[in-house]
Amino acid sequence: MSATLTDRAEVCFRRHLAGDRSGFDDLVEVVTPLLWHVARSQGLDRQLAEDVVQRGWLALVRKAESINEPRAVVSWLVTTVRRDAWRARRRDRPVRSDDLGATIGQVDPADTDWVATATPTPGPDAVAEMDEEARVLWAHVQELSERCQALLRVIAFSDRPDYATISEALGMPVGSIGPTRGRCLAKLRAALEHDDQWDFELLGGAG
Amino acid sequence: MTTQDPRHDEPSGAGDPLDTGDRRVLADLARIHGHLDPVPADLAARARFAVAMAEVEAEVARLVSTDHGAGARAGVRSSGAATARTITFSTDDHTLTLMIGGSGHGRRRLDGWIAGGAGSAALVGLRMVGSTVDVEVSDEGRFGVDDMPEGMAQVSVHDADGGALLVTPTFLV
Repeated sequence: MSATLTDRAEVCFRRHLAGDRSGFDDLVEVVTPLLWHVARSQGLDRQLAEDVVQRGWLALVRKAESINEPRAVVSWLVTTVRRDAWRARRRDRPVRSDDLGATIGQVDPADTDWVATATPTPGPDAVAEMDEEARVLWAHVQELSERCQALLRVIAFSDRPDYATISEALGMPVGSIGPTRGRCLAKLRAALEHDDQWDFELLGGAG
Repeated sequence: MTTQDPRHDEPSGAGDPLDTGDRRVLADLARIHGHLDPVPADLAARARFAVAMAEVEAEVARLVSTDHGAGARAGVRSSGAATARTITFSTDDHTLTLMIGGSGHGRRRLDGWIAGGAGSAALVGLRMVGSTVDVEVSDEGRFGVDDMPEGMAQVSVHDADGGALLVTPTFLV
């Protein structure tokens, strides 16, 4: 059994709480990549995402003593960054109007599971230059709801035993992914199974 | 928290355990996102630099905008203008505007303006890798550092009693 990101983060955070200065630095090293994908999956541009990730760490320095369970530090960070990203996005585009001119999207993050996100669309050539498998998969991913795209993006950078806690921190209903495939991945699988270009037989001994 | 709500729109297979096919899909997704949108190489280093600041009670200002300046926007390639830029941070009470320009030979000049808070800002601390400079804030809220090295930097703003009004995340000069 190899240690998951949550396991490694817990060890670092316990060192920090015990007064080991390098514990926090190691924690930053371990969790920053995940937080980047959380911030970006919430629709922030790269500069705002960098800012929000740093703010998450600065918030943890201020609140470290209030986290009762060191194992929850990753969940705490993911939740903090997700909510701060929501606020940053709202400030960046404060008023959105629908076709009738009515204001939409003015919802408090505390009152909602998730905020519909506009996942930043990469340049069309960026995936085209990748291999066939990536191109086929990406075409189907883009058919998913923005919510599913955001969830799968973050989960892809997580370790499997951590899926339940991380998806919960992302504001998904408990049990919607967890140890099982979950709705978003199931939808993606169903789409791939109907695509002749996606060859599940290739799996062989992949896992 | 709700318990396992039965969902009428649950796609088939959603309750199945993850298999090798799922692992392959997720591994491909990580590969694609890593290619499209890599984590900035220095982001963790910048975060470590930011949290090393002593003023842990001060409010953390939020990035409002970065502007690479008229020269860069118009495509002007003169070396100074192309790298000049303006960064704006804010808190509920203050707005901090930083203008960073070249002063030649890899050195930088920083001019700042702090607005709001009824003119309470008196001192600005500019923290760089290995050194910190304190500069006074004028009555109009302006301050400047003539000569600073390129690299990571962080600003804190203090009132006349030395209390920290705000700190910024790390930015690159």
